[in-house]
Amino acid sequence: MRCEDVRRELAVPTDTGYAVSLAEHVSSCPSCTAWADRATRLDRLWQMTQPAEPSSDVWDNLWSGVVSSLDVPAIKDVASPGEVALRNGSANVSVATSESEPSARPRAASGRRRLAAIGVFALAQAAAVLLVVGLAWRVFIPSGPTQNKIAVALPNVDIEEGHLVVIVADPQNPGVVDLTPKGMAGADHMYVDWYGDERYFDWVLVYHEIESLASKPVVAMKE
Amino acid sequence: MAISRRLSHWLGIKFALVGVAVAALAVLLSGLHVSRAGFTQGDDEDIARQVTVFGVLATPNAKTVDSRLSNIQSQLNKLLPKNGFKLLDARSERIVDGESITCSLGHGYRLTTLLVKPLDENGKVEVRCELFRGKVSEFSTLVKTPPDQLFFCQRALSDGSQLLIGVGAR
Repeated sequence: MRCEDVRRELAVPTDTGYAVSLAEHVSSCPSCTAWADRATRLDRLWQMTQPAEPSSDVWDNLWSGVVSSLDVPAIKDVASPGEVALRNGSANVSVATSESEPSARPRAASGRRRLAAIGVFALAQAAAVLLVVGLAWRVFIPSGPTQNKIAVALPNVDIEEGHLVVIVADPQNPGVVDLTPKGMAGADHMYVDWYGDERYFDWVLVYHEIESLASKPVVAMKE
Repeated sequence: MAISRRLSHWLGIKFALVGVAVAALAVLLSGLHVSRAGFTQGDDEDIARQVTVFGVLATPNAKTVDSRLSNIQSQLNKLLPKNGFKLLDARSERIVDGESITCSLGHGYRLTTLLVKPLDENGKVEVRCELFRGKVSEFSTLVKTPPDQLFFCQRALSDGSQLLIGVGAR
């Protein structure tokens, strides 16, 4: 037998007739002998420290106690005779209420306590749900597309007055191109606006045209 | 009886306050933020800008020009000669810093223009332009532009056409 089989057999005996070969292996293998000794000591320790098994009477008493404690509030909740009489408007109101009065206050107090407990429990549940939803939202849903990796990293662009700038965002050749024609200053197609700034007239027209277009509905092109 | 009722009321109020505090904490943790839409201030002129964004598809060697772009065809030809032009989307909205305009450009592309600073120390408007294809950011750039002046972003598409995006703020 292999050491592994021997230890398994020692731990969980299967009674499959390996007793002789098991004993032979244990006597010849120091490692398994030590293992068997340890197992025996552990068994002994377990036997010594094992708590006493409760008798069947103890279990019966316990269960009957549980059942009775569950039944009592249910019976109380159904309705006392006094309450039934009150609801029905019958003649035995005074008798019934006088019987039920001593238990009315504790029952009302316990009802409030129960309501408070339910309220606390509901609040705690709501808070836990909100917390979990919030954390899930934060962890699993990216807070914004800006956190994604950007394919083309472009530098910050500072555009001067009257310049026509095109930012080229090609992955191979990104950059910023100034398309302002040379010698534009003072040319006919420049004008000075109310603020004294020079404007490239053509593109101001484009700007105004697009602004007016934007106020009308535009359908995006489909593939 | 009255004392216990008052006590239960106090307990209820305390529990409600605790619940509200915990809910507020959860909302804060979730990273939600309160929208500033509709938020107006007295000095609205200083913090708000009319931001205009439009996208044009330029197709090389095409002769067709979108009828809506006929008035600005000559200017577009200066940017991209010998192209046909199709207007994809145009938006113009008055926004304050932290707000953005999103332009749908078709082919899964969309451009988001965020107003970063309505007016910086040099009298320029700061906007961040970011182009997305689905959830992937194709490019992002921070631009300081004089008010009332257009600038353009250009992006080549896989089929050889160009995406031309114009942005301006006044």
